[in-house]
Amino acid sequence: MNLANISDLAGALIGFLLTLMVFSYLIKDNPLFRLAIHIFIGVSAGYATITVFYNIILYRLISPLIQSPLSQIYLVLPPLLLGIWLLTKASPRLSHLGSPVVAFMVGIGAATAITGALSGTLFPQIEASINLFDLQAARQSGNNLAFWLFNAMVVMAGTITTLAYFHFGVRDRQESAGRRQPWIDFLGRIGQIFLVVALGGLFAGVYAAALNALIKQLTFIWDFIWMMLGTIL
Amino acid sequence: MKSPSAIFNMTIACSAGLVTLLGYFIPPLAGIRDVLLQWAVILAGFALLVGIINLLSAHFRKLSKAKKGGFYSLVLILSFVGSLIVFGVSGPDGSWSLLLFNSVQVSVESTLLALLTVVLAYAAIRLFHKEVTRATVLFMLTFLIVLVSSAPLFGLSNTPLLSELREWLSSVPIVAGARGILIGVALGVLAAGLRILMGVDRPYGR
Amino acid sequence: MADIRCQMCGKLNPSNLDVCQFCQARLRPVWESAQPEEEPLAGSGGEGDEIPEWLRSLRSPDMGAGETPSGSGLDWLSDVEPDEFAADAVKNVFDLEPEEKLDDWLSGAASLAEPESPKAEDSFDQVRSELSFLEETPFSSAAPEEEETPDWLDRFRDEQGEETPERMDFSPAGQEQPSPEEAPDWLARIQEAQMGDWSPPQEPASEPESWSPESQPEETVPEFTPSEEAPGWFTEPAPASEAGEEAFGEAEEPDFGAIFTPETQPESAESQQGVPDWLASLYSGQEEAPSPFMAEPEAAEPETPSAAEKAELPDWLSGVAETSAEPAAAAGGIYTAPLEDEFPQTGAEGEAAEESKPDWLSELEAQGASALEGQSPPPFTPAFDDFNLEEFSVGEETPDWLSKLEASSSAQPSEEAVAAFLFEGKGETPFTTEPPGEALPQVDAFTGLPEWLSEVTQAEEPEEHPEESGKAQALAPTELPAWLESMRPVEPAASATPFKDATDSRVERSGPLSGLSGVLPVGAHAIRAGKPSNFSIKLQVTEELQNRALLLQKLMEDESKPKPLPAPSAAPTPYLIRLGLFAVLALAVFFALFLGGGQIPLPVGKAIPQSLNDAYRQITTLPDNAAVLLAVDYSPGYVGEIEGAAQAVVQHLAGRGASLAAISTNPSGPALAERLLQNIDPALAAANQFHNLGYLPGGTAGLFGFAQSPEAMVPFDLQGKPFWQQEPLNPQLGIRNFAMLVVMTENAETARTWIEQVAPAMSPAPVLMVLSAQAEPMILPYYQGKPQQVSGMVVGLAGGAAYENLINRPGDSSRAWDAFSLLVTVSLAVLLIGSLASAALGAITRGKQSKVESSV
Repeated sequence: MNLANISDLAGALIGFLLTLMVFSYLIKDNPLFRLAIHIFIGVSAGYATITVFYNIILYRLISPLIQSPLSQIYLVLPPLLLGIWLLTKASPRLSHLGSPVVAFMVGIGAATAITGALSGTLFPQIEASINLFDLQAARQSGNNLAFWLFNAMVVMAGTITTLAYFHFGVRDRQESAGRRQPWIDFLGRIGQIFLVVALGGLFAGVYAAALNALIKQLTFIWDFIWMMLGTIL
Repeated sequence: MKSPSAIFNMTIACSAGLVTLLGYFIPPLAGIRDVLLQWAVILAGFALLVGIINLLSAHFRKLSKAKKGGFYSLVLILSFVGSLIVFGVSGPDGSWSLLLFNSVQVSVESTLLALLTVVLAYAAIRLFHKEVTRATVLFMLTFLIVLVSSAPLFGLSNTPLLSELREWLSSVPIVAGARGILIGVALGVLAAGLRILMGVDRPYGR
Repeated sequence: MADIRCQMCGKLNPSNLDVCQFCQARLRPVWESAQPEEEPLAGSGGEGDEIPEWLRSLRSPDMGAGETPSGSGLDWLSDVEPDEFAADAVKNVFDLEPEEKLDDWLSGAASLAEPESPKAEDSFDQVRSELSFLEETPFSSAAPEEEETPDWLDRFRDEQGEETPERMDFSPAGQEQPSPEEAPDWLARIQEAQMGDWSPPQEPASEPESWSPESQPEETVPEFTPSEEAPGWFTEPAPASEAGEEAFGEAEEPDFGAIFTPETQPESAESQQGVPDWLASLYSGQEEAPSPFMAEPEAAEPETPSAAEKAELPDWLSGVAETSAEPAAAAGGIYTAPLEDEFPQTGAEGEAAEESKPDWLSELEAQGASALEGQSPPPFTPAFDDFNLEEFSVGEETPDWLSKLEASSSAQPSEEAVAAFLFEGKGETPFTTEPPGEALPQVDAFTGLPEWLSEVTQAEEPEEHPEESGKAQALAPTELPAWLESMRPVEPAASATPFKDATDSRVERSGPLSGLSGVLPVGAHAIRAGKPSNFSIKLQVTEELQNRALLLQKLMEDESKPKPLPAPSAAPTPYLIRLGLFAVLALAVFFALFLGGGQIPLPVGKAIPQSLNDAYRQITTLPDNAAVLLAVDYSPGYVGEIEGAAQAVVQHLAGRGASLAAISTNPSGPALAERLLQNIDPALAAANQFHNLGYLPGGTAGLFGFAQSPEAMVPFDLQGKPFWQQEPLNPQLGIRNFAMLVVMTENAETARTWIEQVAPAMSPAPVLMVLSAQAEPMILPYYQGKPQQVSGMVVGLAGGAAYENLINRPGDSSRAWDAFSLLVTVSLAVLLIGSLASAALGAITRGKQSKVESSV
């Protein structure tokens, strides 16, 4: 057994134990589960710290200053000072001092989100909804045109009614007085159907992902036990 | 009347956002926009460090005051320090780092997600216990259809009908609902962003 | 202008102020501040009509209209002979010894002009000094400034324990007289007057001042200078005490001491121009007069006014003045004899004044002389019934008039006592200068009536005062007829005859009420300790309270009693269900693993989704040596689902010879990317083909910035090597160096962000998605929309297994396919059975509840 094997064995053992400790939560909350969770949080925080140090502090601040200090000064010095200023957010008493930096970040994030939502989702999806009724594309796909058209109408109806359910439905619940239009109410009810179907599909996908994780961990346990048995035996 | 600090913060947020937006249309502003974006990325890294510092300080406080659960705080702090040493020495992509990462982080997160299987199954079972409505029936039907169609049933061969049904569900009703959700989310992001740029919403504090 | 010293706080104030600027006390009398300073003195010009004639006549003929007579409006007081009787009465009233300290503050006022040596007692000087505040004094500016406390007060402090109170002695002879420069102005004037330097004051002539403050002129304050207007009688030696000069130099007080001390009377008429002659004549020859405030009443020979002064006295006063009153004995009373129009005259001057005496006065004198001949002046006669005169009488015998007064006196309200201090009429003084033995009419201090009048009153009721023999003899009782006698109204028992309460004969011996009887006792014996009422200590509990107490007791008892535990429900607890579910699923997995795999065929043909086929086609048609950007943005928990598919895609890309660059917006991404790159078939792996760019923070902004300027955002890879200078990348192209974007994530939002921010910049490069099954529904619109934003998707374990099957590289997905299939089957069964059972149980429970509710 070389060191790599030992290290692999040690890693596997640690993983095995931690897996069992987390599975113990099925019985009830217990100290083993808490211990495993706290170890996990500590290790995750440690790795995140190192990653930020390498990718930001070392490669974006220190290295540019070392290699070409003058040309990079405008890219390095302001964010370095602002970053130190932002560290005041860690103190409850000095937290208010870091608000301008956060405001800067929020402003830029909001602007990028606006452009992305507009050009990346809103316009293409509206265009896609319109292009559902592209008969030429339907013919090229070779599908039944009627079926294609039916599908297109269902998709369009589903899109519109889902939008109607979200905006008008929520608004109706928030309003204490007044009624919405009956036809909007009817559209909202239809949109509720499409919404339920979409959420059903999402739930299935989450369950499938969880099944896959269960399979992986049980497989790991199975493999570790067999490995240990094989090693022992 | 807003305080001077609130006005100052709002001015910063609005000006930064405006420069970023106008950089799309005004080429001379694109350079300034890129510089601001680089600063924002670096500051985002510092923001992650602030979060970690806050986490450690909370557990330090818990440990120093000898509150209940102080042992776990000690374990967390020790784990952080130990992993910091290992990751720092080995590097983010070193072998020891990967070993520690695989044995701890991957194992625990995967196990936590595995626990979700039981929880979701129990929640699906209890769905009809309180009330059986059209929505719950439709939800359960969709769930089962999509789940079953994701993999062939054990012992059974692939059923084309089930696959086509799943295909139609995915491409028509699910897409319709998802597209409506996406458009609504996009409109919400647009509205929220405009509110921030206009200073109506100030999530960065006063 | 000269500053005014405040009497309260002792601080200097400008002379133009009426109220102290420090303590807000009045600096001047109200009547003085009511008139402007520039106005002519009271009594001048227009005021001359307001001043009584008798007062005006007191003024010197040389004085102007605005001048005050002899610098003080109380000159007439100086002619009043101090009454020893009054002094002794005061002493006895307060139960004071000669060395009593109470007199100190009073004597301190009187000792303003006195040297340190003990002065002769002069009760009138004392009173004069005390009341000097009522009158303006032009000497206010003469006080030294170093002292802040009033003279009288300091003297009181200093003289604690001193036995000899100081008295004001205005006598210029035999006294230490400070130099005019040292003395206050008013005092200096007095000195000068005594020395003959006194010059008539500039104030207009006016009547002798009354006690009314309004009649006091104001101009005398600022304009009065010592060298000019100090009256003779007012000129007196400077006091030796410290603050003596201040207190009375600044105070606008009428100098009673000067008024009442005969010695201060100038011998010459010119020197006494300020003193009415009638008043001066009263005191001529009178050395000293005991102050009623002094502890040691000393006999003072009364003065008799000079002949020249007598000539100037009004008729009504001259008779009085000639009546030489002996120095006031110890039994002089300050409460007695308000000096109305009668001023006692003593000595030889009294004979000269007899000629001008009114007849009624002569008669009274004759009566009194006969009654009081050989007797000491009547002692102080308070108006209380049980007043024990023996304590106050100096002589051994009580004069008849006094005993009559005692018999006839009844309890008088204290108002009458107060009245004795108030000068109810013009020209009144509380002092009498009746010498002992003089049958001068004494004024009852409490009734305000002269003695003679009181006697007359007593004579009208002979049956109530059988003790009155003298006056009763004058009038013979008439015989009333019987029918008239029967009509005599029956008077109440306490109406006619003052009731003399003989039950309490105690006489107060201390305190301000000493000498009086009928005073409420303050001793313990006075308070009759009555038996306190007995209160029961038992708690009075009503029936309602008892009921409440019983209820509380019952509640407390029930609290300690163990309650029966509810029966356990038939349904198993949730954690048992969870354990059962886990057990079933785990058994299924172990069974599938036990079987070894390969039991379930991998997806092929139509079982493979179109999105996967498109992804496969995209990678297949990728140019050679293309650079592909891998976005490793899934969490470590989804390794089991996504890593298999991701591994297959990466393997396919590596087989296509693509240069791979992995970047992540997740802090855990670099490690996961490293796992992917390290698991590539070593035969296909090339060190220069795989680059781990690490972590890109910032979320949306970071991706947008990376899309716009990737080299600036990520200049180095995780190894620290400059990435963008390596082949086949062209630094000029930026993000367009990459021919494909493969996004690996379980989060639909992350995938959407990559599609929104980076994909447009890489267009027309295809975007492939390796997704978790939970993200697929939300990304399908991007895939199915036209224009197509996502070129292909590999979804979940099934997609990974299918892709592995397509590239013919079994991996983790293929291995887990059997277990996944079995789990899906088991889950389907469990969910169906469980849902049906849950629905049935719920229906039964709802039915039972509805039955219970309906039965209720």
